[in-house]
Amino acid sequence: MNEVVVDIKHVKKSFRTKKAVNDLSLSVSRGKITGILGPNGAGKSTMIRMLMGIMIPDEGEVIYHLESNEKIPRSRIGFLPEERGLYKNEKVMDVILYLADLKDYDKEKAKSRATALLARLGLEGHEKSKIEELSKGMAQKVQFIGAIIHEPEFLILDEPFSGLDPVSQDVFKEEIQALADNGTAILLSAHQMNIVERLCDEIFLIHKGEKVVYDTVNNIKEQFSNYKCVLVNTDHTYPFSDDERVERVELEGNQTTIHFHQDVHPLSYIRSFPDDLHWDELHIDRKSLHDIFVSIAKGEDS
Amino acid sequence: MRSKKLKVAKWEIKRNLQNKTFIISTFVTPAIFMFFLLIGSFVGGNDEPEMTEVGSGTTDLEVAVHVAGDEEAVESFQSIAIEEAVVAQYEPFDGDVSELEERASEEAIAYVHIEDPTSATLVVSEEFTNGTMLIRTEVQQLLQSMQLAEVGVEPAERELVLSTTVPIQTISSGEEFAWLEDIIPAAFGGIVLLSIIMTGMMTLNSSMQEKKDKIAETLLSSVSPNQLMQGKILGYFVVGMAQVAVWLLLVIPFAEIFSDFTIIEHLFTPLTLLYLLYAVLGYLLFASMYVALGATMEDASTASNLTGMLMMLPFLPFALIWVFISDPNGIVSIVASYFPFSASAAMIVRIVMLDELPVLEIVISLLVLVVFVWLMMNAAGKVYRTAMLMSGKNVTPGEIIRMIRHKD
Repeated sequence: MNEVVVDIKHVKKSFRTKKAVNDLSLSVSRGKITGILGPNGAGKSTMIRMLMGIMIPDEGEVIYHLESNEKIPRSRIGFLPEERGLYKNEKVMDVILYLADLKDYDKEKAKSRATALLARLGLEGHEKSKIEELSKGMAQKVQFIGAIIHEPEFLILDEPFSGLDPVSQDVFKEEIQALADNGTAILLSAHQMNIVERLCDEIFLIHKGEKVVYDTVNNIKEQFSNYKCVLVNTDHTYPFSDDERVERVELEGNQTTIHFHQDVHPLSYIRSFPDDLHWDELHIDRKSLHDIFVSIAKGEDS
Repeated sequence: MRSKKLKVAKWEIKRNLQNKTFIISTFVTPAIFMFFLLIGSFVGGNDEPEMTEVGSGTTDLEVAVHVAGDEEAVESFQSIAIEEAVVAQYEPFDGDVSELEERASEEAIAYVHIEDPTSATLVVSEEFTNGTMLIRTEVQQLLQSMQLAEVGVEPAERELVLSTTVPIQTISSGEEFAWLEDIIPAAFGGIVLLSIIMTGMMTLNSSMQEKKDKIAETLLSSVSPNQLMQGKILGYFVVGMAQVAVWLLLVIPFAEIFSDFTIIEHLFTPLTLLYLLYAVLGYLLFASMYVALGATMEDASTASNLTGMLMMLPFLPFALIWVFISDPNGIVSIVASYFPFSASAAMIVRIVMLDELPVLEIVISLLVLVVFVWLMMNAAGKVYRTAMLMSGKNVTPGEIIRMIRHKD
């Protein structure tokens, strides 16, 4: 299943003199989770707002391939914005039904779906509670339900895990995966790299409004995730970085992390260690998505 | 499928009609009005039209009235009076009438001077306040009875003839309420205008609250900014009208029962429609401005001076209302009729105060309002859709101007 639901083609958006988004192109397909990553101010929210029609691109276009007469088929799209909030004085069920109504979703179907989703997310019995009576995490779950109540074909999730405890994060992960398995195209913006790495099929990484990389998670790791070697309780005065195979060395507590250049396998380097070099533990690993993200954000892998 | 504008409107109506503060204010206002009406009614003490009955013969004043003059006539008057008089006690006076005349100039007395059986005069001193009219009527009746007795009419027949009294009812003239014909439709228009200005202000709170609650982006993912804004304006219009309807439903029957006003028959006139048109146009102007201003603020207390001034603009005509009333054709009133923020109130007052409808001025002021409503709604739409997404700070006047000047 690789049916594209939305194509973003060469979009540009500037605010006065600042280029927020510069010539970005992206496609999101049914049943796939596309991660949109980037440091704060990279242009993710602007991209998402252009996708939702909240902002209009200065150049380029957003083309939906969903059956609808509208240019932006809002009723077929679900959106969980980064700026979280609901009507504080209103009841949980009333707010969910209003959001479903705005999406032209049948009221009775919305009611039974809301009841089921509330139960699944541990909010059973809170239908008549006011939003202000809920904890932040519970309110976030209500908003998540509001974003998916109308069975959207395309779902945009902007930082869905922020502020959630690990248990709730797991619940959200399962729900998001289940939606994708049912054919929903999902665009996910998140800073939790471990979650992104596990959930996303492909990643669109941007920095300062420009595309850095757009590929599958595996390809990105192939491309960017060089090996690294962690030595615990070793002699940190040893000149590890003198070797041309070493990109950089990081010292943190009793750990020394050696980052290798691309195509360097750490085994050949380890074999060259002198016999009297002591260590308690040695770990060999590839750079995580987190490392890649940090490197890119710091401009090291540009 | 209902339009999204209507869905937003329905939501706003439902939220407000369930809001305790709104419900209380809706019912408290007419309750206060009715309370004062009731107090006025009790203090006034009479819910009938003002009426004085004269000559009904049911009053027993026990007032002493001297009778002097022709001896024979006085005697026969006295004999009839003993049997038939109920208003006063008639006492024959033996002395000369001039003595009574002298006393009347010094003390509060009344006397009947009977010159002959067909002619008598009731004389009262200035200080005499005991029902002169009633006494005069009774004296007349006693004289007539006396004459009838002389021609042989029996007492029972005399009573029958003389009991046919025509009570005089002095009822306040209908002209007293003629002004209601002009005032009621205008007052209705004024109440609608005031009410919807107040509810127009609620659109400001609504957008401000949505921005504060950070729900704007969620809503804008389902509806366009213009649909959201127009839905709010429509919703709050209905809320305002519902408030007026509740007031009228409570106050009109109450006023009809406890006062002399006849509101209903003066309410449904063509002029009411004209006033309503002014009120609705005024509302659209203010509400679209308020809804956009609400989107520019995180908090009303931190609003800029410009925003604060704009917020007060709709109340400007209420400060000038006495100028419109005292000088409806003055320069201030005429200029205010063409200034969009005061046109509605100024024209409603002027139409009431002027003898003839200033048709040309009505047409011009309506045109001014329609054009400004259109301009305001466009400008508000531009400000609203950008400002709603700006969080963390109030939008500056410069930014508002840039938003308005921004081409789509």
